[in-house]
Amino acid sequence: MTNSMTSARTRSARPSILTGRWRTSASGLGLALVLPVIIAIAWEIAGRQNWIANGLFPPLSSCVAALANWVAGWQLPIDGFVASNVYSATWLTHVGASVGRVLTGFVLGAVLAITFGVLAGVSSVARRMVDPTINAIRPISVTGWVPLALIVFGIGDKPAVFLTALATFFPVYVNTFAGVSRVDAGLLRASAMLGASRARTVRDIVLPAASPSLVTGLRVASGIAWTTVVVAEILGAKSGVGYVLIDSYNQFRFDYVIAAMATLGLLGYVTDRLLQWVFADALRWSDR
Amino acid sequence: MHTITLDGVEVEFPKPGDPTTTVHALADLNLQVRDQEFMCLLGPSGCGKSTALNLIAGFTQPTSGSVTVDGATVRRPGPERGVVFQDATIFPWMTVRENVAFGPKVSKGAGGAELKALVDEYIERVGLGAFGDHLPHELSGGMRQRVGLARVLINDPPILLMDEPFGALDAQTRITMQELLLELWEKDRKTVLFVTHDIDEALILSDRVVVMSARPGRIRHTIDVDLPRPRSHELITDPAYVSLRHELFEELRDESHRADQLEGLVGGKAGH
Repeated sequence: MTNSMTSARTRSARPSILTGRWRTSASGLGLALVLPVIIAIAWEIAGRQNWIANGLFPPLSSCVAALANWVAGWQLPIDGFVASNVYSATWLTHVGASVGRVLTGFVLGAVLAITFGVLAGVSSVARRMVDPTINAIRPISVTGWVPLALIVFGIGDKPAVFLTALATFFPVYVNTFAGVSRVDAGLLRASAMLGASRARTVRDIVLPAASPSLVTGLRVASGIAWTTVVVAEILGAKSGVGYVLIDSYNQFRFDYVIAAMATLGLLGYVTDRLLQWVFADALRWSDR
Repeated sequence: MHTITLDGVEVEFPKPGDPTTTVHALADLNLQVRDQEFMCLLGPSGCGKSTALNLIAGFTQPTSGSVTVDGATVRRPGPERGVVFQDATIFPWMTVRENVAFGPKVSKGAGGAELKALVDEYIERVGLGAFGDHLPHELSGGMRQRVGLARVLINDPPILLMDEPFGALDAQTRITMQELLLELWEKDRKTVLFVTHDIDEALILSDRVVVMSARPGRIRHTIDVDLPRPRSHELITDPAYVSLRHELFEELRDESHRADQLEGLVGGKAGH
């Protein structure tokens, strides 16, 4: 039993998902910064010299100024930058609108997908009833649903929420179903042998056993959900980061377009980290 | 009285990967395990001894014949028939404590301080006192099997079914686990059916050893193990033990040879 005692001690030594990737040595960090610095310099020069798109492509400094204006209403003294009154200090409102839609759609889609995925994975009757239909609808790209969503739900939150829920549903369903059907039959036998009812076994054994696969589905879906909400806001909303993106484009304000792009990158990154962080503890048993 | 009775049990199923061929796993198996008896099912691998145990556990149903426990036909698994599996099969996301608490929680709705005390008592009983908050992947094979034992014993089942529980452990750990099981059983005699292919394990543990024949599985021989209890591994030099061991060895050698022929591993006389 001596070897088991040493293995028991490795628990504290194992880095978490969060810290594991961030731990970069100083020289590693230096190397990682080489490319961004080159790009930033080239970008600034290309913008100042009007090299790209007949001078419509803005220098980096203008984009930073646009973001600062959009977020906090600041007027940074950048040469050639004129703040837009339309967007000044509206960042939080628009981000709030997008986050609200993504969150509502994501939760709605995920809850439905997990319900159907577990049912299909646990019961062969349910599987034969829902799986063929879901797989028939699944190949239709979410963007293909946009016109229909706009006709049915009009302009505003509803089409975006619907499309995000739809986009979330499929990856979560597929991964939940796969995870549930692959649960070790021995664990199910053990649960029944110890006296658990079928419902109790689904709740206490099937769901946790399938959770690594389920979380993978949620992470994939969160990326697709953000893509979808931007498309929905570009085509049918009067608020949100996607709306700012298309509206500033229509006004030839490409500094604000890029500020909106940077915002989307940040939001997608934060969402993924948040999901990892939320489930890190629940999945500690599976990271061997 | 807690007895297990198998009466004229047949098990047939389609061969995996070749559905046109039928595997005849058990043929006319008759077996009775008496109240508070420790019985070992001994046989070569693939002889159907685990199939027999799964029938009693209620995991599978016989093609024909009857499987009864205390006179009632077995239809499904339940907490009155505790099973210890070969690979422990404890729940990997639950700590040792949570694994052991699972049975009383789901079968009796137990909880609170009372359950906590009971769980601690059983963890202590199997020698895992210091590991209550560990996850299974932090434990060795022997320790996982201790959890597998504790989570079943806490349900206080009158019948204990053990499917080669120490088969995957190293020799030293296996002996430790056998002595732990003996100590627990001699204190609280349950009706035990223990499946193994290890002659020494069968002799050290049981009151009766049933030798099964190779496929289709049926009973070939039964011997009474009239060795004094409490037992330990010092028994292996006892003349009575040595003679029983010799007897079982001869039985098992014949059966293993026949099993190899069935699998086509030896000679060309398969099935003769």
